[in-house]
Amino acid sequence: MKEPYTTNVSGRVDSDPFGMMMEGRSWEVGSGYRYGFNGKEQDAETYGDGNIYDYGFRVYDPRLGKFLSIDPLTKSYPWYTPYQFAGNTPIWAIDVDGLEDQKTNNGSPSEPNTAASNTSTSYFDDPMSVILNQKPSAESSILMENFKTNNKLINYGGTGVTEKREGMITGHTYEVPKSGFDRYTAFAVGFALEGIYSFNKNINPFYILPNSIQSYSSGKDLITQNEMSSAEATLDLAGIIPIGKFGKIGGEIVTMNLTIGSKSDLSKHLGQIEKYGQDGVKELQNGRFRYYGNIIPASNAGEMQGARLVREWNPTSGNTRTWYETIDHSGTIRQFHPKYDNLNHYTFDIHGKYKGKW
Amino acid sequence: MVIKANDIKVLFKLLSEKSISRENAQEQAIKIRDAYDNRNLEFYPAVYENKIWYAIQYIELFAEKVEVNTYLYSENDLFNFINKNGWDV
Repeated sequence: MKEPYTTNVSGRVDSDPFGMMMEGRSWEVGSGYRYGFNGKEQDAETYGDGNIYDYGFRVYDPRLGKFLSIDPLTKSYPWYTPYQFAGNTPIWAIDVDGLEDQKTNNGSPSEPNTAASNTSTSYFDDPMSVILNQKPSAESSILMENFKTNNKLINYGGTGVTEKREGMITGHTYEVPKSGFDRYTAFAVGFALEGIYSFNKNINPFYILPNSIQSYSSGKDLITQNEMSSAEATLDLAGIIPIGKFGKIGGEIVTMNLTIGSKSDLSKHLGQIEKYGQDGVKELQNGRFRYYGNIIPASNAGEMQGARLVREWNPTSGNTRTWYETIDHSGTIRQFHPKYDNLNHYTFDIHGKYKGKW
Repeated sequence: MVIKANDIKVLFKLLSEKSISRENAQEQAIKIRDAYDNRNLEFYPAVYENKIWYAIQYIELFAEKVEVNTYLYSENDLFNFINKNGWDV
């Protein structure tokens, strides 16, 4: 039986299909409510009301109808411009998290988006409801809000020591209690979050399991080979893994243990992930691996955001190459400075086109 | 080779006092990194391994230039990094 409830409407905004607010067609009771178009959080302090939304992976400007940075999955969608929003079909689709469009209305373009779909009510937005009581509740909303805003996987307000771990599917950073009952609760919630996300994204969650099961069955961490507690191994099995255990590039999950043959190669590979691949690892088609370090920000370098160290390793020959990349604010590599060719800096324009060297 | 947290502290001190050039500091950072690649590097204290490694990468990149006479990172960036990461000298 459905329980009756009432809803207090605290604001209303009319917007164009891409989310730009219409002049004089909005009202709000009080202030401080931060969410808007597609249910996403605004950054009103910097850009003004309704002008910028945080979609998680990227920031969206509804006045332009574009994201401000390149789609991390752009290589999977060559038919789209890398800045597109919701597949350029905002009436038909929503953009879930700045990565891909999600068609609504059962995939029918002839029916306009309903208010419900446009405010992104889905199990992914409130997966806690699935775990706790099969329907959205105050408790599930609070937990979910805590997860979204603080990346805290589970926190009932305690002050216990936590550690950061990374979701195998989502790439989210979770803050997980190091001990106590909440750690086990974190396992259950994390499993559900990762599973629901993979379901929404049509990712088969079982492809991560061989690695996780290996940890679980051996009782040892795959990277450090340290003994693992059963709770630790269970978290691995849940797909909530220590930061840096697997590589990802801008949200794309990259498996990389398929072509590594010997145990010493594996050890070298894992060592390089830890030391050189903080921002991700990519397996190249020729069997080489590329490890990306964190971008170290520069405060006043004009259009440049900062630089990072990149390492490439050829498991067949054992050779490595290291270089520095200078990156601009849109994420484009503007300068490439190989350490094996110390004299030359290779420069690129804003579109990534080679300009010359100095 | 043992790299001590104190060695990094000294390197930052020399850099901020300009007693050593960015390029010289970079060379030292590369030597430390090479030692790691050759499995010949020990971090002391071991609990600072990540912190020391991040500092080594920073020192290496601090010499990076965007033009012939222009460094990517400013001196303020260096001071901020030192303060933010607890390498105060």
